[in-house]
Amino acid sequence: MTTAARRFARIVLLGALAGLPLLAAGCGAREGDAPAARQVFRFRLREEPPTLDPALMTDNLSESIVTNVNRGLVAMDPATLAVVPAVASSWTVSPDGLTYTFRLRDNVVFHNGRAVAAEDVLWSFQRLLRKETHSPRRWLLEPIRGAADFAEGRAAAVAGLASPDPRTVAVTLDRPFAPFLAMLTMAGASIVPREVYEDPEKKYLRAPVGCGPFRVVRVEPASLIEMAAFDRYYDGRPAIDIVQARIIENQVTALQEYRTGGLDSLDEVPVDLPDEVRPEVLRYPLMGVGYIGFNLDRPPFKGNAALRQALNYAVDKEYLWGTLIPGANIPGRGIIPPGVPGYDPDLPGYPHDEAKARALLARAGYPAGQGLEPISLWFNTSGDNRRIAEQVQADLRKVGVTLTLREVDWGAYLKAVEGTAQVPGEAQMFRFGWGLDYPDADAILRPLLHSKNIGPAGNYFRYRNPAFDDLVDRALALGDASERAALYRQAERMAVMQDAPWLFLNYFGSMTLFKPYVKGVTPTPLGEFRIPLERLRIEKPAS
Amino acid sequence: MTGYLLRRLLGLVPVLLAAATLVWGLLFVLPGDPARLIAGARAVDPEVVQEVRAEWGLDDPALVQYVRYLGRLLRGDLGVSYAQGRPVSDILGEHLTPTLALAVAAVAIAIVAGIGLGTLAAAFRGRGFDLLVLLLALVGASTPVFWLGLLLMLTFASWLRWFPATGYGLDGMVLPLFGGRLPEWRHLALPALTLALVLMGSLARVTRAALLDVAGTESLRAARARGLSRAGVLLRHALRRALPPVVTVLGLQLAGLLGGAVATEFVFAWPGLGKALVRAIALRDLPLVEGCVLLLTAAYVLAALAVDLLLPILDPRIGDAAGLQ
Amino acid sequence: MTPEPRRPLRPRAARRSFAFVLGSALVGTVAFAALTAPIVGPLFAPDPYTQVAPRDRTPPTPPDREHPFGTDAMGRDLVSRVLYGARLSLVVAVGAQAIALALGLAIGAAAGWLGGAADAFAMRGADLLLALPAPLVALAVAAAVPEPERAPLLRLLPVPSAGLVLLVLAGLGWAGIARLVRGEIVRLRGEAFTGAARAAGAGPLRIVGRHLLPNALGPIVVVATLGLGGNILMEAWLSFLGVGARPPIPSWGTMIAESQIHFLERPWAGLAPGLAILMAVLGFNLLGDALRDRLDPRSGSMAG
Repeated sequence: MTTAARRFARIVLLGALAGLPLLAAGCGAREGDAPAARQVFRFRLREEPPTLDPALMTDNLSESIVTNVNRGLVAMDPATLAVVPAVASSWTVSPDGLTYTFRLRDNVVFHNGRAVAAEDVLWSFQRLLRKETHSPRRWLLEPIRGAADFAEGRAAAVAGLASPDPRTVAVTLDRPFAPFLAMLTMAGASIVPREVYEDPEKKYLRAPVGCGPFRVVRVEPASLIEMAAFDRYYDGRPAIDIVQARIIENQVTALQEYRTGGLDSLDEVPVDLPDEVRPEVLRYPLMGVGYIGFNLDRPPFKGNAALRQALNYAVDKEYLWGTLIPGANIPGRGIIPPGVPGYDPDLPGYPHDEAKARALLARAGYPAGQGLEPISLWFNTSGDNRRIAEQVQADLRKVGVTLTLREVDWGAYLKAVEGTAQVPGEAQMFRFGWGLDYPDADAILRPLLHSKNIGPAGNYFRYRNPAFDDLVDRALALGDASERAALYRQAERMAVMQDAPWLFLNYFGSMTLFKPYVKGVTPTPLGEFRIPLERLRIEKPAS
Repeated sequence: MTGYLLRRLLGLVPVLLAAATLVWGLLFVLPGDPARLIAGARAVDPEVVQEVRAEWGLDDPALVQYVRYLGRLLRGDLGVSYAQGRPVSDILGEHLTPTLALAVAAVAIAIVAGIGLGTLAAAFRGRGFDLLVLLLALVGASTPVFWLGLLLMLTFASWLRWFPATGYGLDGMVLPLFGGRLPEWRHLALPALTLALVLMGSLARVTRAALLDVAGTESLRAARARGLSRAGVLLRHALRRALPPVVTVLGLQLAGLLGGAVATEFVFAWPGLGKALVRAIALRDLPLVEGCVLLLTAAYVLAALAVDLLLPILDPRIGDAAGLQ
Repeated sequence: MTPEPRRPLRPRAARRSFAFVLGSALVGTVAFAALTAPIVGPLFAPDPYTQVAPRDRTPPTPPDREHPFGTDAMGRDLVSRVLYGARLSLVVAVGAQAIALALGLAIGAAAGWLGGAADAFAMRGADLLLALPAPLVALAVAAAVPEPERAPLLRLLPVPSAGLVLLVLAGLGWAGIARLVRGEIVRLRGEAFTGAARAAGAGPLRIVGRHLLPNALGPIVVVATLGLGGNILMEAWLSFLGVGARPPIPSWGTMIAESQIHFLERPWAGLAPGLAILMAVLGFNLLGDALRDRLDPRSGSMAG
């Protein structure tokens, strides 16, 4: 190389190095600035939702998108928890309680422009039931006559599903099932277009299509999911034009974003609330319960109820929820949360008692923890989960039990916890919560603890108690509410005080931050991500 | 020249091979069934485990598997991330631009600030600049990067509110051919500054040393005789002298820069390869871990090679192993 | 006997150097903290795991008379944890370096003395390892063991997760030392005194061990000292990312990670361990720099 060339190369190099930071300048508005007169609502997700497919959705991250993109025959009013019309404008129930006839609206349209007809309902239900879909919510439609045959491939169609005309769907059940309508409000029963969801390449995972008030317009992996108002939504176009779900893992920085105007709402409210933000917290009870599940099919919990009870007594729930993580959660004693028929205010549960814990540990065969290997406690990434796990670890350490903590992302976590119907998951103890989808004790006792649902369907603990199953089954068939409640209380007491399949932690309450200019917020016991976005509107002074 | 370049590039092959072997070897050294390890969290499903076993040919002898693995790598097939259900190469592509942008910005800031400070220190000897540069270098080399990032976040994002705390920004420019999206500069500032601070001290230190060497030489006196101001002389001639040691030091710091970038991406929620790697590790998503490690290693060795090749260009006095000038 | 050139290890000039003094002071403080942790720690908390914050105050609680550094997010005393963190850092750093030294000396000396195929093989291996980015390799290997407490060999160690880090760092550290030692041995192999010793009938081990290595000690000490600082940073980094020492083990890196949630509002839980790392690594870097100026003038430090 000649001297001149070398000199040139040096200059270019220096210039390039100096100029690059300038090139990196983004030339757009900050994402916080919305174009004038457009209503944008930005909320935060802790992680990328594992799925946007309504048939596969089981968690509240996915729920935040799926419940806005999709609608089913009926919906649940977030405030009253009553079943209200959605895609169906009305319905009748036959006198024997077996046949539900739904009349569809005329004006329901999918996001791709096609009108919704009865055959779409049939196809969507079939999709949920079909084995190849691997849906963990298949049980929603199991009461329908012929559902099992269809799912197993023994029949080409579901006997109990019929559409006498393009605007009518008739659903016939095997037996009367009180909560059936409520179950149809759940996301698994959403109506989806066949032409999109039949795609073998599964493009719908990134571009789902439904008939709900919002449609997905942009997915930036691990960063953002953007939805736009659907003009032809049957209930009228929502006031909000754009919804952005921003994925921000770090709780602290999410709060920063909220404070500096990058978010309009924040789900995870940290303990240290700056004073100016405190009045913007919305506090409300949730229909849910938090716990740490025991894997009953793996050592050391297999067959050892005394050990499980010991661990329950060892944890100080009052300190946990009163001081360490003060919020809207209250210490929990059992399975059925307050507000749900069947809740037992007299259930003793496991108040903090180290002496009892030690005694039971000895009875379990591990005096002072001797002989007990370290147990893995799994939890998914969230600021609170980590502290709960560490506090439980500290409490158990006092009685001689060692925990190792495994923190993973939500998708992997579900897999490690759920296992399959045949094989138990890897996690020995795992932090979980369950929000009820409708105010019925069956909505928690059956999916979580009935032996038929062992595995991804919901019974991750692999709890098997025929007496419990029997109580729950009998209660379902009854019509009288107080009789049902009595059976549920009995079942709960048996599970909680005898078998202790969980380390009972809390009844959920929610604290969510909303900016004062966000109007129309309807708190709902269904969960923070079920606050209906189509009822929101932004009233900001022009910026 | 081309022949030399080719030979040097060929020399990278054993290193990349070593990295690939290490990553592959881990799978088999680890206790447990490799098929379950690859399937990661989905391993509970025996069907999936069987699928993995068949797809990866895990029943074949180790040597056959190794050769097949290398073959796949050469074709650019890095496998499928079972945690995300997509090809690893796709995922890596998405995360590449943020890391590049961060690295380039950090190095650029470090070079400009480092050379600048070093020049000032050399020009104004004994006025406290010396001490500042020395302190900056030592503290920069001794501070944990992730802690520094948190401090900067505390100061500039939380107290002063000058910059956003985390994130990448959604309105950055999209690169024409490559397709990646650049960050918004306000989001880039703190992470880049964090990395740059750790580097710039030692760069300033060597700049100062190099310039002080020059101060008494003939060429400098000659230039002064021609009537240039003291600062002007220093700047023109001295910069030429400073670049080689600066680039040398950069080359030595590449590994630290890499480690620092991973930690910084984690702290600032920067959607780059480092953060993807840490998440993949938490998820036990071995194909993605493999892919990230390989890609980052390749980038590292290429950068090291670039430094090696750059030095003779910048300073004709530095002959390299081939004796090329 | 032919007189041998010897380089003194601690010449007077070094003692007067500011870097040496400050470096030694910092290292000494950290070492003192590590040694006295079991004595001083209990003055503030029975052990670094016990929650000492008052049960009615949400932790982290700010520094006060009882707990001068305050408490962390779980209500544990920070003074105690920082002291035990020093213990862990030093044990891991020194332990890893000791193993790396042992390996590096053995392999490097053997390669340098024997030459030929053994030399080529060993140095090729070391070069390959050195060509790889150390943080990535450490991360990949450490991450391959998700639960060290339940892993086959590691569970036998007192602190399995820290033991993992120690082994990983040792495995990475030997290569640079081996290269250095090999270079020195090759250089000294040709010196007059070596020939004389050989003529006097000394065997290779004796020559290498008693005559060559002591002369090579200078650069080795420098590299080892600087390497200690690097080890402390790496251990903290690995722990911060979650693949090193696991909670509730008091490692400085883990403590910083745990402090992140509250960092913007209650930063003390993260400031103390960070400053501790800074102090320790700065100490070793200063010490290493000073030693290099005195013991290894050939390598030309960056100081002006």
